[in-house]
Amino acid sequence: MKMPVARTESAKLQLIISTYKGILDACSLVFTISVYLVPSMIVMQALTRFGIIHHVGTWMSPWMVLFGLPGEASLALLTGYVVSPTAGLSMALALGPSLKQMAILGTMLGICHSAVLEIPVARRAGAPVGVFIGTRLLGSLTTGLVLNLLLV
Amino acid sequence: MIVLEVLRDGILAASGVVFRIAIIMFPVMVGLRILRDRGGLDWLTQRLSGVMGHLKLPADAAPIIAAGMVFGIVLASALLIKERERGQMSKSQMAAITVLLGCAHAFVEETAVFSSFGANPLIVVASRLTVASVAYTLIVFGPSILRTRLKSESAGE
Repeated sequence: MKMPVARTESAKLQLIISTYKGILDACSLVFTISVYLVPSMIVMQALTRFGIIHHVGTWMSPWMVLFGLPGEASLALLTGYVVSPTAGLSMALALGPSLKQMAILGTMLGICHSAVLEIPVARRAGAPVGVFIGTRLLGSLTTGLVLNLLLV
Repeated sequence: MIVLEVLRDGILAASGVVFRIAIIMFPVMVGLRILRDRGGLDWLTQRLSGVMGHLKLPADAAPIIAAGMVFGIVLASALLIKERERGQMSKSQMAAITVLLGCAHAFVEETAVFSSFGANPLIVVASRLTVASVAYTLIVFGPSILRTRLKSESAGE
């Protein structure tokens, strides 16, 4: 009769340990996100204040309109592709996007992101870099176009 | 003064977003850790093993794909490097796996992050899976389909 009790106690302990580890994982992730988020928000505030974002927006809007995004979102998209999707989405958030725009941008960055980090990792694993980047970039842009047509 | 204002506005805007993200990420990460510690990855690997044949991959690829789809491309790459050292998988099979995981990885964590920013999780997951499937099909099955079509065309002439 002692065995099941011991097993239950061990399961409870395991659950507590897993929860503790999960909280640590979450703290680490939130910290990592903050590291990207705070500078991105400050940069976006500065770019907006000095009118740079307006110029970029005007210049890029003929292309970004294909994805249903404002021209200013091109900076967010590029940052997401190269640095991290969190940094890109943080920049986009400062522009006050609609739910449709956030869905499109989130999906585009979900498919292709963090080139700086993921390409070297994939290369070490033996991935053909050209195909790896090409499929992701093409998939991301095509999905943006399609979602812009499908979403209301 | 402008610099201070920019810093203040940026930090205030960011702290609100960090709080919103934390509310979503804590339960997700705890759930993911419990799933991992309770053998969730083994369960998923077993389920995926049956599908590997249809994907023209050996059963050894199942844990790599499961780890990549749940935990991310870094862990999957570590497993792929080990697999390369073992030499059981061909170069083209490994390339196909990296392309598949390139588009569709870290579903739980990344989807939670994207949805905490306001993106629809269903659209994000469905689109990533669709793009990954199309890319994989083109790379793995595309050449043989093309060869068959060319053969049948030349036979017809």
